[in-house]
Amino acid sequence: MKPTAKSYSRRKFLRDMGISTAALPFFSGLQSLYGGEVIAPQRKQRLIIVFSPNGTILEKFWPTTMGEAFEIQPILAPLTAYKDRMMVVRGVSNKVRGDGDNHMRGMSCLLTGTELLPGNIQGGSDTPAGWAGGISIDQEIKNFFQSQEQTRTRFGSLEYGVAVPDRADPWTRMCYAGANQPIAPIQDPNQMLGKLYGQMKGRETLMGVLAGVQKELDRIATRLSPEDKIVAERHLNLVREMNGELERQGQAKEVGHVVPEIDPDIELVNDNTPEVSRIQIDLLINSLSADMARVATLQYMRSVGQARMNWLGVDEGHHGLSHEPDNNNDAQQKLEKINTWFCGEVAYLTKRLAETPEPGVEGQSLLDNTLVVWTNELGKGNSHTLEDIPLVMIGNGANFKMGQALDVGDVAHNRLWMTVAQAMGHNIQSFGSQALCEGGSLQLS
Amino acid sequence: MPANFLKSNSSLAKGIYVCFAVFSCAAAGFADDAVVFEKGRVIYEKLCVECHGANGEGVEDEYDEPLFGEKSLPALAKRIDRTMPEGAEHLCDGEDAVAVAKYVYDSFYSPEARAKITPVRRQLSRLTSNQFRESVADLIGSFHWEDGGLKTADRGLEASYWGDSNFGQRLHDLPESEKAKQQFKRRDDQVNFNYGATTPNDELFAPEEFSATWEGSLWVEESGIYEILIRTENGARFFLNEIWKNPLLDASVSSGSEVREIKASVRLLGNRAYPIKLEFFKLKEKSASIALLWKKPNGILEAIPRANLSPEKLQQRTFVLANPFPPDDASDGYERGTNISKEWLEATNQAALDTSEYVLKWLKEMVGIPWNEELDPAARRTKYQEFLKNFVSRGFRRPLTDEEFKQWSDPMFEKAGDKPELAVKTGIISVLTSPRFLYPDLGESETADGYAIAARLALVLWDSIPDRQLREAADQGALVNADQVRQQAQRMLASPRTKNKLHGFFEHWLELKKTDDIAKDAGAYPEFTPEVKVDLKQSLTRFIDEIVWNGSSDYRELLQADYLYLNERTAPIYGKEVKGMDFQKVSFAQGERVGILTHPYLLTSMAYFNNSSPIHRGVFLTRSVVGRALKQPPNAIEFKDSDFNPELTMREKVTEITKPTSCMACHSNINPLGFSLESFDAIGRSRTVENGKPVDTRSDFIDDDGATISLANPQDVAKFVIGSDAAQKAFIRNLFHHLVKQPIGAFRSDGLEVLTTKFQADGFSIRNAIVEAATIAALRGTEQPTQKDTAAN
Repeated sequence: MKPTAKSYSRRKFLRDMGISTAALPFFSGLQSLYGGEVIAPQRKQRLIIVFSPNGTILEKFWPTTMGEAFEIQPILAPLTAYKDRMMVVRGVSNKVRGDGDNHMRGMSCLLTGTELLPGNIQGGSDTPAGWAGGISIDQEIKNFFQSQEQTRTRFGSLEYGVAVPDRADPWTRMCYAGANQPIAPIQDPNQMLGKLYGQMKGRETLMGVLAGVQKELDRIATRLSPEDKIVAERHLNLVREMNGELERQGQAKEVGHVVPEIDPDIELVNDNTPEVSRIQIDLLINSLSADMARVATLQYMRSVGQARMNWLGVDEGHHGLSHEPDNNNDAQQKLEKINTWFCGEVAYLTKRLAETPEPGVEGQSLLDNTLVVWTNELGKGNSHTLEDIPLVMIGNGANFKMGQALDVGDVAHNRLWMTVAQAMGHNIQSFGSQALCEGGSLQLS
Repeated sequence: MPANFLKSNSSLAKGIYVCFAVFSCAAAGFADDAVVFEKGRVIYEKLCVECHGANGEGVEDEYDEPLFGEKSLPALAKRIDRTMPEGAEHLCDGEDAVAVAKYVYDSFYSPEARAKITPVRRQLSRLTSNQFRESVADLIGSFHWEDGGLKTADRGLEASYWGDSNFGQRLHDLPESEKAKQQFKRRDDQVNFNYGATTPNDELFAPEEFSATWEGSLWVEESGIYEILIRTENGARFFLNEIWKNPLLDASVSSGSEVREIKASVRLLGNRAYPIKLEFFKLKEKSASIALLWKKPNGILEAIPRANLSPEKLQQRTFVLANPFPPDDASDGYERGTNISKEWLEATNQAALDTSEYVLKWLKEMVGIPWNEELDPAARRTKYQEFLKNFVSRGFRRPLTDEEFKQWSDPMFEKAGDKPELAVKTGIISVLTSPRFLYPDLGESETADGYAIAARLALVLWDSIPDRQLREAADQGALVNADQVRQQAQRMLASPRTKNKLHGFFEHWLELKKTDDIAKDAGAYPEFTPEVKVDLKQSLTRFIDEIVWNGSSDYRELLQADYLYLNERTAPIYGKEVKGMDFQKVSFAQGERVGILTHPYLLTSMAYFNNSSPIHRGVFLTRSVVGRALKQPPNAIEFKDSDFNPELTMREKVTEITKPTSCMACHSNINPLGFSLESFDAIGRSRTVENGKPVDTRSDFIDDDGATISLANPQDVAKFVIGSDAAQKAFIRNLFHHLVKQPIGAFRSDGLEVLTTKFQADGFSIRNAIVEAATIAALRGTEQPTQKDTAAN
């Protein structure tokens, strides 16, 4: 493809600014440089919920000092640069009871706040249980956004996964469209790319190939009978037309955003998790920037996940490790490493949000309008508690007061989700189990 | 104008009748022929040209349809005698009509004459969408380590049962003797169990928990979209093609005692087997049940029948392109790849992309790198080059030389750098979008060698690409003469691919596609349920398959057999008794059933909501079976039952509505054939009385020689058809067109004659006719009849 004067100068501009070309497509705000008037649209509020499994090491996670002067514990170290844009929230508990073990309820009640329905999935020695009995908060907010013209997007919500195993049960699903309706996260970047860009996928490859088809048809047409030549020429013209379209789409995308190229060889195996994670985050940023959705979830593995994080020098499975007692120093250190790695991915997500301009709004980044919530299905891993579940919020999408650690006492997580929904403009007075919403929303702003 | 416009010797003319009825060239009486022809020309100029045009092309506002057709010369003469010139029929009678017929027939009416005026040519054709799908499936399949297809006739699935809810995991550490008490295996015909509060084996299992798997293959006869569904209140997962990962249906998690239905639609190619596995488990729910169901294309929701399940555990997946293609042109009566549209191009591009993704997903396996081995980019590149060279050679149906391959692939690999997978992706897309893949005939004028012949055979018989044996035969130069080609074609007949293609032919010949929406008056025919409808179609398919593939393969049996295949559900409707749902051969009394002519499915599909339809049945028989062309009705009249006197029989109504001369031009053929089947009602049951009056099936009918014969019943029709050269030709022509998708005249002008003569000499063997058609198509009609052929004639 020929670079146009526009794309060239913009690319050069970005290079001079020291911004990677990966970020290039998002500088649509720069249109104004070429004289286009940019009208500030209504603020686009967004929500991203990130999940990592199997609890944490409490003393390496929770600050000992609350308030603005909170200190960053080792697990949260990767987020240090964003200390003033984050809030560590302590005292939120999953108080949903009923059938199923703590992992199951931790996972499937995490975003739904409702009890599990009776079912056939046995966890530990508890009564078997099934899917969650209600909608999850991400879908609740998505439905709200989709119900209004000005917040409606193509997908409404996107469910990203990283290394989520290929099975459907209450330990692997946190998003629900309603009772008994789990939503599977998409853990294959190629599949997500297909969902986001459909026909556009493989455009570059196709363009190159179609150029070859043109040449071949040209060559062939010369030795065909006049009648058959008509067929070949018709084919040729269509290929030309299509190539032209692909090219124009390509140019249009450069002004808006490009279709990311994905490593076609990436195997969805445990050892590639770090790479897959970054690809998924890049795709997530892309889809938000292109306003395909305003709600997203990013699910790492699953509850009871046994990821073997060789890339951290940890050979044991994650869940097995999380059961080790407090006095197993080796296990504690490894778990700290694992959780720090998760935090690093959240930090990368934050960085990408912070460096990606808010389309159409000069001087703003996506992070200014996005709330990231990073959480877990358990509190303390080895005792499988559902109290004090790890909770970090980043970004200004909900207008919460950032740059602090906050102890909210001992509240049901239903109230937290209600607060988030309200901050997104969705004025619900309860969410999930009504009894657990007593006391109303939390004061976070 | 005098009735005897010109004199001619009538006995001589009769001689010509006979001669023309059998051969297209009359050897005897050439000079007399010329006289008759000239006489005909003069009359034509006087009486006919005004409406039909100088070359029978038609005249606008008069008679605008070109004069061509399939009638024999004598039949044409009779027709002219009776009906021409319109409004002054007496002007051209007897010998004059014979002379005009001769002129018209030889100049532009007959297929031979038409071929001379506008020589038929082979059109450059792309793969039809079906050919595209089949070719890609086989191209991918050619890299699997195992040939697809079932090796045994065993049916049902291999079932394993365990006393835990975890497929025996909890039994793992038990001693063998203990294990045996809590697990067992058996063969299940279907999966359709309602255990209630019990278990598959109450002596071994406790009702709280148990689990089971059913493994094997799914065999489908028909290509199309299948809906697959599991119904259970417990946990279940269904795997198709890929049986370890990525279940097609995941219903693991129960919800109280609610019975859930989880379903998905998949496209499958017919006459292929697909690996499947169903997992099921119960844990503490009050009750248990599990059913594996499907809805075939145009089918009903039913438990997947035993006949479609095999306990063979196939390793081979089959890649089926799922993306939709626009329908192919079928205006000539058979699907051809002549329409190049944007939708088609987009569909092929999408298909190429999808295929490349599938290949990348299974690349290690397809190129032969062990799953646990990692190679560096250079080593991978070597492996991929080898793979891609095979891929492109098989896709182009001709091996590339090393030099050609290098030229083609080097730029891709250079561009891909240390990610040679990208080159594989580009390579695959390049092959599947290339004219050399899409137009199998391209470039053959330069190299009509064994590879071209192999490609044609595969396309004609399988709608696909050459298999290993064909490739090897071409490599060894053993695919040159007619005998070698015939031998390969014979071998290829045994493949399910050929059967699949023939299904398409029968579907087309018997117009089965049009008949999928049969609806009947439930008040009048309560026994005609959706299940019966599906069964009857199955019964017809079975009938055809048994004759063509297992039996005599005799075309005459197809038209005369006195038996039907019926099962428990359908037999009572037709006055018979059968036990079980498997179809069994049921014989009928002499003359009660005659092959496909009286098969209940066809009788039912060509009938009205609440009565028979002699017109539908007659049109079908005239066109497809008797082989006479029908033009569009001059004025379309809707048959409205309420317009008639309710006392009339169906035959009387049809006779009344088709009375006008303009109707009778065609209905003189249609009605007698249709009336012969009046002894069958709207769902194909025998009857002797209709609307309170005895059924009358007798009519006069003009045979191919113009003689009047009496058709009293379907047996007479069958007898006539079997003895009719035109009917045989119609069958062979239909068969050839469906197989080759090009007009037969484009291969050799006497192609139809040659094939029909051979068909007669071979005892009307359909299998042989397929081989002969494939041979002519593969050799492009250049074949000289061998000694053996001549001797046989």
